[in-house]
Amino acid sequence: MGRNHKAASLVAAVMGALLLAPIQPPIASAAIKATANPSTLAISTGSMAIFAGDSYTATNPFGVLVTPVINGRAKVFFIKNTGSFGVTRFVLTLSLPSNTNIANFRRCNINVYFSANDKCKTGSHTSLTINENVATTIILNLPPNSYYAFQIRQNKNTNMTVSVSASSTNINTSGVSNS
Amino acid sequence: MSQKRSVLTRGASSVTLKVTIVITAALGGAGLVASNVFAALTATATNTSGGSVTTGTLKLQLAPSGVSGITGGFTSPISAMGPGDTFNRYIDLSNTGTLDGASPTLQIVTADSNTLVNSAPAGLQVTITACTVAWTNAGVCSGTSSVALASTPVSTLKASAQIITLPSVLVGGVNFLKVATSLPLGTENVLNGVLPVGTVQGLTAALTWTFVIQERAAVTNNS
Repeated sequence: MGRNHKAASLVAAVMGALLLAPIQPPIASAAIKATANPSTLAISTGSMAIFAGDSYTATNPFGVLVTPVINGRAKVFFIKNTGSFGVTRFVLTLSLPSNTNIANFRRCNINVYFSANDKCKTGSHTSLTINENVATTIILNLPPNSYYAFQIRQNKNTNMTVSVSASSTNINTSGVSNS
Repeated sequence: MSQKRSVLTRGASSVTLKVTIVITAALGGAGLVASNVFAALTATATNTSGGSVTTGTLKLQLAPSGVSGITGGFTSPISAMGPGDTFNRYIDLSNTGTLDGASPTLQIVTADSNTLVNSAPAGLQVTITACTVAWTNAGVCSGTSSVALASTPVSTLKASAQIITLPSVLVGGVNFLKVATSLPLGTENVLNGVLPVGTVQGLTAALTWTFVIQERAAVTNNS
């Protein structure tokens, strides 16, 4: 009997506390705060877009370049940068049948195309070394909206696949800006 | 018989007289009370000057730097940001109220949801440095500089307000702040013009910066 009364009293006390708690005024919560007029900063990041194309006006194919090549004939392709970052190097892979003999591999100066076999529109060409099916790092500055024209002469009749990759660690336009 | 009647009459008259006296006394007392004629004394004192009470104000104002060349503040957008880049924006944060402040915090609000604002390691980072004088437009502090906020991911500032350390939150205090927003120098490989999954490239974010100060501790004044 007495135990029941104690239990009932405890329940009543708890219920009373629960009912009264929400209507109790908050204690020591009256501190005010001030918020500075909010200001919004708009941010956009740039992007890399480096790809191989069959002309200097080619648009990003979002894929490899597959182009036919003929034994002994010069073939020209382009590595373009249409992104917002320049890079200091890129990696080029030419997929050709094994044991393909690459007689010569040349390039013109930046933004200069081959006007004829082995002839740049302006300036002279530069010889490079590359092997088929081997990822080769080409150390050249390739700024945004620029291209390099490459010419290859090899000894197979096949379709050549040109693949190019670039790393964000080779972006050459990062830095600090104050404004 | 007539003598007995006389006694009765005399007795009735006596009772009537007593009742009359009591009533008269009661009415007289009530009249006295009603007319405040009782002798209880009161004294009132009032101040003849002062006594006014005014409350203070707590105001925090954010303004772009007034130094030529870096007056854009947060309204100067950041575009074509790349890995490894840092963009500094210069603001003045002032207590323009009449109450000292305390416990300053910063929170960033954004409606965007992408790697820039969601990823702690790969997303945007914020560092705030305070200077005792205005920053030069080359980002140089010719006074004394101090770290207001060590490098903190935007994702953290977005999740909850973070405590910052300002040189002065007292009345009239001006904090010259350099807010550096940077993108970590991560490694992303772009293959044949295709961006990798989860890239930080080609994204946008609109960050709203909310600086808050609390009222200084309540005081008890004796004077």
